Amino acid sequence: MTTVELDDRLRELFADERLDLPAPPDAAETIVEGARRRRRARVAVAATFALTALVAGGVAVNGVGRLVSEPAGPAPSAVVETVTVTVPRPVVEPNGYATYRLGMTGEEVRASNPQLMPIRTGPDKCTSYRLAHMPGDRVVVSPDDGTVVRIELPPMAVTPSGVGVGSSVDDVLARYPKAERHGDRLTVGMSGPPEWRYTFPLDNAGKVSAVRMESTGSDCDLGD
Amino acid sequence: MTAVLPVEWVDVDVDVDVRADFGEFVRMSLPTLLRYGHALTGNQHDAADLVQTVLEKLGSRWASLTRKGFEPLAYARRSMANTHISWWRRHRRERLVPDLPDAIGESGVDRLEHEPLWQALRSLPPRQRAVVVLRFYEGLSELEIAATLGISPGTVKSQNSRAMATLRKRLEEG
Repeated sequence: MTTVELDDRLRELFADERLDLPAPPDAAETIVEGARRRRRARVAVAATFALTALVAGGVAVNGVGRLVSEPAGPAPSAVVETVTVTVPRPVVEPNGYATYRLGMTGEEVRASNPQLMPIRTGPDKCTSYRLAHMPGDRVVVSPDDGTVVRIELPPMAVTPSGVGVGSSVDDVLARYPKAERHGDRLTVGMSGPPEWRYTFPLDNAGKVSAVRMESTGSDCDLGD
Repeated sequence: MTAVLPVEWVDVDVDVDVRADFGEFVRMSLPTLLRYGHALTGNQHDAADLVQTVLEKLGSRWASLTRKGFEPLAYARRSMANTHISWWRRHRRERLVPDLPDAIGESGVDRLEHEPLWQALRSLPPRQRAVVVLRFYEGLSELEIAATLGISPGTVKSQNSRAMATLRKRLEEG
């Protein structure tokens, strides 16, 4: 096949009408809502930073949710700034997402959603499932006790504390001060029982590229 | 579509305007971007996933990006190409396993499934595939591809030659 022939075939293929995909009727609304959720999570993180910075700077706190800096002395050049922030409340972090929970049995998982498809059974004998419509929504079942040991949230989802795909390392540390960095990922231990952790793999730009809930002590290979 | 917004997405009225504006962009661009995602990823599930992720990120910064006068469709396409490449790095181990579930979607088998060239494209690593898509789908020059993917023109050239050699070999093998 000549270079020109291959070039032509590629142009022809990429012009093929079969490349078209139907958009689900509610796709636009889902995306707009997802964008709004991401933005809110980011704003909440920014507010937490503002609070941290002001408190660290010795700024007085007046009332709930409102910080007013007070000049240390009567210096005429002192500047008074008012900053309103949202103080995050303690957040409950359940060990599951949607209909899935860490520790539920493989049978319960399959019964909860008949559209789950097994992707693979690796050398570790652990079985991964994915949803037909949401490739990122993945569940891993361990062969040891037949229970769920990992849940990967879909790309649009954020944790109850507001971390999602695209969050920076600083965002994660602000929301989860106990987060630990292990190479190209951050983990946050969560109390049980049973004990579990969030794992946030990082992309090349240092941003969270996925959100996973994982049982600790599992023999499954839960690597990238 | 609403014109450039002078303020951030902060108060309720602005929030509504921005959402309406972004919502209209999403509705208008979805068919184009899904098609582009299909070309980039080679399957409908990953295409939908890629489009959703990129548009949500774009939407979350819509007001500030609009204020800077960005071109949303070009921005989305560029983000899709780069996001797809970084996703593959993350999931490369899974992709070593035959991708059978991916080929079967809600509507059945991918309509291009039996095209030899479509199958051959599957054998390309995503950066090579992205170069091929940017060149033959988008009609970009080597310099434009280099700028889009943040790589050197020399890398574009070498990735393209490798991709074409692989495609030719696969097609000849039948």
